[in-house]
Amino acid sequence: MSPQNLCRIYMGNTLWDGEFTGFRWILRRGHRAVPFGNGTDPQTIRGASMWDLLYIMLTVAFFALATGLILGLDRL
Amino acid sequence: MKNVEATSASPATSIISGMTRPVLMSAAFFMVVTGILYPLATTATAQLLFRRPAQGNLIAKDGQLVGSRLIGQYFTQPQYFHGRPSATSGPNPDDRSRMIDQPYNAAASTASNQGVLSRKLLAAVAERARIYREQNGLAPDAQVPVDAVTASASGLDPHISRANARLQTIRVAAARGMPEQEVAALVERNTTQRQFGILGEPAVHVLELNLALDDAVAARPAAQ
Amino acid sequence: MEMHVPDDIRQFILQFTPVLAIMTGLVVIVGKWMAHLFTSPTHHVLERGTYRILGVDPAENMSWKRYGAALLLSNAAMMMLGYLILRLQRHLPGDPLERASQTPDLAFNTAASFITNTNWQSYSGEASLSNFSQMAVITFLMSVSAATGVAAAGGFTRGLSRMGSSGIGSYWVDFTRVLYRLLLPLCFIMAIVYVWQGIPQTLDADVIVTTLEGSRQRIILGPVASFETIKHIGTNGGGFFGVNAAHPFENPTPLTNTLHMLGMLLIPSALTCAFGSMIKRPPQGWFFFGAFLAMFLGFLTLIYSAERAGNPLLAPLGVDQNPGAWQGGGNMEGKELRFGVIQSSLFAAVTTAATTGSVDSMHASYTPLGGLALLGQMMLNNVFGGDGVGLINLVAYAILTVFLAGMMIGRTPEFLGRKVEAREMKYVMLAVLAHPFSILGFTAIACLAPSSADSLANMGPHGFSEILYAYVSGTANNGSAFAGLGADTPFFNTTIGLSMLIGRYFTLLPMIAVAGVMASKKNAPESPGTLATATPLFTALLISVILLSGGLTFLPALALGPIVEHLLMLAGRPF
Repeated sequence: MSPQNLCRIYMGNTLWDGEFTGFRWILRRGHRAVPFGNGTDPQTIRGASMWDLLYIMLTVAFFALATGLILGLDRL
Repeated sequence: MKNVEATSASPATSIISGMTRPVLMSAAFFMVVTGILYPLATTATAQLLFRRPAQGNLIAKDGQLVGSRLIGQYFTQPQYFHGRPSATSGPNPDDRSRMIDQPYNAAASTASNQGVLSRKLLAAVAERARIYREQNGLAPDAQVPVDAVTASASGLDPHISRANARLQTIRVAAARGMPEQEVAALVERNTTQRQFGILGEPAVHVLELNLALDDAVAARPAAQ
Repeated sequence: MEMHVPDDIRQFILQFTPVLAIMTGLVVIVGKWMAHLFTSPTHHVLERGTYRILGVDPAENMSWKRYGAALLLSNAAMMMLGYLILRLQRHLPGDPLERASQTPDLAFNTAASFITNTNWQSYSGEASLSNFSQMAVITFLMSVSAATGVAAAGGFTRGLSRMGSSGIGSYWVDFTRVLYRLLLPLCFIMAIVYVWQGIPQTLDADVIVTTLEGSRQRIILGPVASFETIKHIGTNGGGFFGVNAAHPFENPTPLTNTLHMLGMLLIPSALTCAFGSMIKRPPQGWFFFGAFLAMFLGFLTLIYSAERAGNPLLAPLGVDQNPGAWQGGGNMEGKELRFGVIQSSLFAAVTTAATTGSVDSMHASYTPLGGLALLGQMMLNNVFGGDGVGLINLVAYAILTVFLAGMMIGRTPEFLGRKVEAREMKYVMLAVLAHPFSILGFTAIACLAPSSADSLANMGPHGFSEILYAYVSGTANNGSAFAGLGADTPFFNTTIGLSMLIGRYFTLLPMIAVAGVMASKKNAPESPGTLATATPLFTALLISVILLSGGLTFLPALALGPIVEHLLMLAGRPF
């Protein structure tokens, strides 16, 4: 953790104005990968389906990883 | 010991072979058992045995529901005992998109969640203490009971401490034109002691006390 | 008496002693019952029917991998089902209040939270869930996640009790029996007691009353009692209402508060006895119970003494926080009067120890040292711990202790008559490291994210504590919060959701692997050089290892949060 950010949390002001790009990047890519809808508003059907797909994919990816852990543990 | 480990199939498939049905069925079946049958069976039994508490211990007066015995109410008038500060809020009736302070909103329980060092908390406590002293005719530097100036956890706390009730007695008696001892006696009558003599804290039940006060006033002309 | 004990401390001891006594009594009864249900060869008629519906063979002796896969994949399916219902809530009939569906990120967070036995809530119960969702998603996931944890402890212990076996039993049998023979009957009976004490149990959604001063008060109702029982007995912790067990409908009397505490402690403490009984070494179970209890008493004392002292910054404002005949006193911000500081501190200690996360007072408003103790118990994650996983975590540390002791005296470590070798040590280390990795990693990321500051209710060290608490609570599958944090943002919902999943499965699965490996081993006869594990010396060693490794891992983070805050409080510096 950089001193600037601790400072930011402590002082409550934004000394550091960068974006947490990794997370945004994933959201943007996940968004582009879906052929329908360009709204990100979960209250609209098109926006909702994009987000739903993202979170279902995230859930599946996690459980696939954990299954991988079971299969791969004895190779550790 | 029976050995059922499949040795012929590849290790990965033997681990999850035949598991599709139990996995899917377990989700659906146990949802019905634990998410529907269990709560419904409990509801039916509870309604049969303890209907009043199962419906929320509601209090009716003159055929009208006036509250729940367990849920505190917001009291501001001088002839009523006041409950603890409440941090709940609710939508502004004029502009429903904006939230405003709405103490004792039983549809949105919440606490202040302020840390002990919070300036906001300290300012709120100072202001509440000032008003409390003013309302109850106390000296500007008088000590006030902690429960009278701190927000409860639920925002719906039905109780106050005996110290808090004692300090409000004079105001309530004056506002109602009742003798102080009579009000103090009602406070005592609406104080619950520790459960089984051990658990919890002695507490004055504000709503029941205020109901008793209203009843006492209503009963007086008949008694005289 | 020569020594004068202040009246409120005597009260504290008086209120705590019955909890301790009843819990210890129940350890034996429930512990024996659990050992029986994990080992009994007969299947009841309801259970046989269930196996037929699921399509499983109850006699199957699963390898640890198959056992782990059944646990993991059935949990995945249950989580998906919960996600679907939460997303479709608006379209399901039967809610007169027509509450909207949860947003996708919130539904992901909620489903992950309840399937992992965490019960972190980024939503407020009465405002966002219909009675159908409270039952078919929340009560459902609370029941199955608790059953999953206890079943895992059963399979794990069975693995440790076997030698030269290829399997650790059937997951489906363990899961079904825990639900039918333990959780559901207990919860049903307790729910009726709860209703008697005043907890509502109805399908009505709300009632509107006219208060004495003439305003309208909308009171939310629902099937709360059936929710409260599985929430506590299952060490779940999510609230039916926003303020959880501080709400008078969730926790109307000091008796329900005490029963909640006993419910939370019931299974984690009794599993020590079940463990000892199943591995045929009952003293081992009692020494594990002793280790739990010793750590718990230490944390409890710290919490109570900090809360009893009150907030020194309120004294100059003329606020009387002294306990006496007329008031309980203490730090009362965010506490309910019927519980006072005593019942609140007890509850907070129990809920963070048993990683339930139910709260009867607001942890965010605790004094810094009180908050530190709450964080500490969750960071260690095995002061009783959650249903099933608490015992498993303690055994992980016991194996680690045996290993460290073995290194010091230069012998191959042994545990329960088996040699502990490199392979199982790797699994143990994986389980032990996944926990801090998730907590510290996500906390660091959240401190870097520019949006985090907008979610904080408090600035300064308390703001940092709010973030740290969120990931500790998520990873430890506790679910309580420094609720000042506005966690319903896509960022927090996603990262806290992931921390809960990692904290649950990446610590549980490696330990099931350990049980599988230990079950396949041959007996290593005890020799004079064997370190006996059912002794006070070993228990003390075990506690030291837990405290040292937990302390070394988390002290820097604690120093930035509660410790700085405590120093600022002593200096009288508000933020």
